[in-house]
Amino acid sequence: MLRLKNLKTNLIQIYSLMVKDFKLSTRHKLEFFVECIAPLLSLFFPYIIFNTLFNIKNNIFGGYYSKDNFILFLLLGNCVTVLIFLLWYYQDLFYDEKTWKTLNAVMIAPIKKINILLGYLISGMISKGIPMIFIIILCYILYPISLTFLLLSLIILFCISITFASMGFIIGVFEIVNEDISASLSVGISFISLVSCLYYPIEIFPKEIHFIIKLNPLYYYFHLLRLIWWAGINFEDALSYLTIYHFLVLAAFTVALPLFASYLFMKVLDKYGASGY
Amino acid sequence: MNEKIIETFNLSKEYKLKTGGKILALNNINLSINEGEIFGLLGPNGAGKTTLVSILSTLIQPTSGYANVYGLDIRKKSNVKKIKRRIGLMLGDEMVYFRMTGIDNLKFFTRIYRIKNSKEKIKEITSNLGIYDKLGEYVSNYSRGQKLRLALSRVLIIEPDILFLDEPLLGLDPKTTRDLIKILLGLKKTILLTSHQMHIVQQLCDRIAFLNKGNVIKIDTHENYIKLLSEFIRISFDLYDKTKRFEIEKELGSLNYVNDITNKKNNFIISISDYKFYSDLLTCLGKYPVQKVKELEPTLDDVFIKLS
Repeated sequence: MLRLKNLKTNLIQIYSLMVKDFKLSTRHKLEFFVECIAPLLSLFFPYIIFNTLFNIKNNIFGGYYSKDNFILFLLLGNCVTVLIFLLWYYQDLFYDEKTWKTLNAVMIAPIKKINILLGYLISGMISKGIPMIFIIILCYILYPISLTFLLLSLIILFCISITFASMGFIIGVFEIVNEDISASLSVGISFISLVSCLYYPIEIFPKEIHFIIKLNPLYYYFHLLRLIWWAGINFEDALSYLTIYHFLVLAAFTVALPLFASYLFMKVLDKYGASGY
Repeated sequence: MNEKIIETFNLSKEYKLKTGGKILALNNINLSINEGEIFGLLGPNGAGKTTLVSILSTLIQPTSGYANVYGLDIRKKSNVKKIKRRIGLMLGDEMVYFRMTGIDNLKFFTRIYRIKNSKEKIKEITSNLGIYDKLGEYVSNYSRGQKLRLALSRVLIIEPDILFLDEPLLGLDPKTTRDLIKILLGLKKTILLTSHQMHIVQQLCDRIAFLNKGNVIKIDTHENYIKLLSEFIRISFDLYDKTKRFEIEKELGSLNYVNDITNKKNNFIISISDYKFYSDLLTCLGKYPVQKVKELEPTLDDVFIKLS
């Protein structure tokens, strides 16, 4: 009975934190709407460039990118771009919470730190998940696949959102205690995210630097997402590009990063308190 | 009334500076607060008031020493949750979400604290504090007084046994200050209040601790502080002949009962340590072309000079 009551308390606390974050995110409705559609606008120029290139030669890069599927890959890249915004979501949120001293107000409440962590993580994922769903629907309309592959793609997107939420959370935690580290991490991770063949095939780069790109774990994330969707359309072609590394990297980072983010959150708040410095 | 519910024992806190050095924010603080008492922490900015409140409210841990809240050692993790249930912390007009409405703020905290009958309690408390009608508006649109009332509502709604109030009346107009003092006095709760405004602490607190650079200089009742202040005299006068400025400064400086001399243009303010030197001082001033001689109300600076 007591356990059930505790569970209810924990769930209500996590839910309250999520609702609070959602209200903070949607305080300015137009700003929220613009944030939702801005990534789609960024597809305009890549679309023109790719369209021109594929009109010259259908399989200009080699690999599986072609005139028939590049729009799908641009849209999937766009889904990930929306999730990349999680890197700055927690940075901004924690900066506000630090300034308003509301993190102190939450920390002083009889609430477990793990509930605080979950509340923040889930709210971020939901907040960025809403615009992502619209892009996924667009992908599905333009490039329909079976429900199995759709589900697999959503699982991968979920793993990507956990990864970016965790990375954003790590940046956010440093925002509380040391803004310099937070800013450096933010720039560093953003750079790594962009140098990971998010929109482009790896074949677009000179062969000499392929191994550098393949050192980037995010490359495997985005590559896997494209290949799973592509497998729903052209199974054999997609399968020829899939490796065990894709799944291993995805599984390892999806588990390790949230654990590290939780550890850091607990340690930092224990050591420095919510006000930092 | 005499049960000690907060006690500190050689409590110290050291912060590492970004530049590499260290700063001692609190140095061996020993004090106790009784149940039902309003205890004031008075001191200038950087005295260590907020650090002490942060430690007692379990937000940060001390570097050395310890403190008990309701007999529970704040250093033990198992005690922290029990302590949190009994305390409410207010840091000025902060600790509320500026991008949310007042009502959303209060609802959020009642859910986090699992407060029953929250709707009725929100209505009752905010009506008493005079902000019920403003609750539907975003906090960013509130005036400073309204933000403070909301911040106080947030603390009162969670029904704490002890209130930690850090600068709760800073920057308010006299009427709002008077209103909030009346409300705080009517709460009949144990309150630890920090301020650097002498007049507020005097009106509210049963006992006052004077903090400076992390040290407790003196703990006493407010009656005794007033007595202490009454022995401290500041006199202001204008010198209308500028050529006598250095001469009068030299002569006043040579008097061993004059503690401090400041002058701005033709206005001089001097501090003397006892009324028994009053007539001697007036005799001295009588030799110079002075006017508008008057005694000034003692300030916090005077207390510091007196105590240090």
